[in-house]
Amino acid sequence: MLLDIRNLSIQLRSETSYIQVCKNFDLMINDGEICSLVGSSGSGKSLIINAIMGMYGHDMKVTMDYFKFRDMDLTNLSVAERRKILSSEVAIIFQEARASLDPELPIGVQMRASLGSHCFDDKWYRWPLWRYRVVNNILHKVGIKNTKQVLRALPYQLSEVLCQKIIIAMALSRKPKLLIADSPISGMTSTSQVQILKLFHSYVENSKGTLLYVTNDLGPASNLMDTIKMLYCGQIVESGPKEQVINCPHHPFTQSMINAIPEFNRQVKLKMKLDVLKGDPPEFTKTPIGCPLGPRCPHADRECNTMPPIVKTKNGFFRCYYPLNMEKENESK
Amino acid sequence: MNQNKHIPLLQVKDLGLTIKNRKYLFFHKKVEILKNINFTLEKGQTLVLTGDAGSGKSSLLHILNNPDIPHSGEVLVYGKPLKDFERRDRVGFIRLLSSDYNNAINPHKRVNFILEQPLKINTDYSTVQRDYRIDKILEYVGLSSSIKYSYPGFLTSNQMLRLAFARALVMEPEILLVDSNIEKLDAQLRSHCLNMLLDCQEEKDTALVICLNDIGLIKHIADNILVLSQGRQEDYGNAKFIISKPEKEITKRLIQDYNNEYRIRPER
Ligand code: SF4
Repeated sequence: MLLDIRNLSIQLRSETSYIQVCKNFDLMINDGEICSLVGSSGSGKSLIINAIMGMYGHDMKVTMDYFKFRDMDLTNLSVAERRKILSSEVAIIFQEARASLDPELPIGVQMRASLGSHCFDDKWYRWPLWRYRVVNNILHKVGIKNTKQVLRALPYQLSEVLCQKIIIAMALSRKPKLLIADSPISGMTSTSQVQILKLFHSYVENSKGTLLYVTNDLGPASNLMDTIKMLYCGQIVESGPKEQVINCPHHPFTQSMINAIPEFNRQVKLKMKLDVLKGDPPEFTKTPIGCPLGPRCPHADRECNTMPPIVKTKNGFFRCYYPLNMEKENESK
Repeated sequence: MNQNKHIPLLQVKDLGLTIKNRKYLFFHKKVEILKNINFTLEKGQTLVLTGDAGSGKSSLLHILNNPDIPHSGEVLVYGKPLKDFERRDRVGFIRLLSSDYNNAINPHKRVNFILEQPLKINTDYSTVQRDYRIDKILEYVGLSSSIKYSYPGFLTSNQMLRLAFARALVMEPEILLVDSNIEKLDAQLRSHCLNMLLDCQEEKDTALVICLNDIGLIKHIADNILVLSQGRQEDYGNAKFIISKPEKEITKRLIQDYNNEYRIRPER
């Protein structure tokens, strides 16, 4: 077990009180696994990552029962101490690439600076040249051809996609134990998407890394993932291995995420309307009583006014009173 | 503008764009962004622009949106050059829908102001008429008219998307340009956006020009497809035909890259 978090809860401070964003959140990631968190925007994905990494200020209150990273028990450490331990072993790819680069330093300087001495194990006199070599290599791997120009450029001179690639290169060059990627390939062309996904794949296979892949779309990377956790309103509503979740989803939210991709459904004809859930995701100040999907769910009934219990399936679980596709599951048994 | 069947709605002939990359005082390098682009667009059709990053998709979209950008070649609307139209006519005719709503909508102005400004500048409507128009468009996109006096910050992401739509449709355009940020939206909102575009096309017979990279989505909504590579037009024609039987190298590569091993195909 690489990462084990139990009962994480996050509260955000508002003017008068604290708002509960996430409650009873458990996350367990095995060594060498690609785990993915899938949720629509505003479901608290990025907040959860920030809470795990200890990147928050006084406006956020985070409590958890148990936090274990590799063999270290970090439950009772302060935020600063936890950050210190995690920083050398975990790398994060943030959502807004250009915003997470320093606007005043050339790309090359930033990339070399991120390669700390803990990534280096060789003779001391190789140190200065080693950094240049590593940076060049990784940029080629990400698919940037004119490295010289890019390394000299400032972030505002590059396109958003290039910045994204540079952030990915930076994170991978440090050879982290755990890589957290927050929608890394959104907005790219399919050619670069494949390149990046191949890179992630080889990182997990060859350098024994672990990947926590956070995304809002099941389409492009679904076959890369090992387990899928569907997140809605700060709560995991369904979890399981990828074949099970995609081929026979039990929760209505998972089904709607799958229906949003025209290719996943053979019955969709050219220019037909895609079916979506009506309304929008609730705000955290006004979460509905009982099942969070309640007001938008097409299958809702009176029972849904109370919190649905966890129902265990073969390798995962879901939270719903009226699950879909149950016959399919029974057939396969 | 009488409707004659033989004259297409939008016709682009030999469009080219060259910029000078200046270095020091006297040196400059000429860079060709676009070269020899030809296509036509009929009423109620969808044209999808696709290609690699940096192939000139968005530059083409910008030229269609603002013909004051110096370019060679012609953009004809009903057989008349777009440059010769008066600005207020032209602006109402072709509108850009920015699906990156968080950055495209001014957060310091009320919804009413955002929707009223284009009408104020480009039409001779009185205040009452403008109000009526705004109410109608808000109803069309499915927002209540009480929203008019709130700031965009109070709206949820779904409502913001609808507001972006309302702003694009206020002038009742015949051609709607959609930028490629539509792919960055999450799956639910994206299908919502596509549904609204299809609705609009069905009811008002609007022609759409969309930048897209995702072949799956292109298959779903496109009539015609234009493949660009390094600013050159590589492939143009019926989308279904081109995607099922690609001939050019670049189209083949794009489709092959899309059908990669990381995409699941569910058996259903
Ligand atoms: S518990 Fe009820 S409201 Fe919630 S997802 Fe299931 S059917 Fe829908």
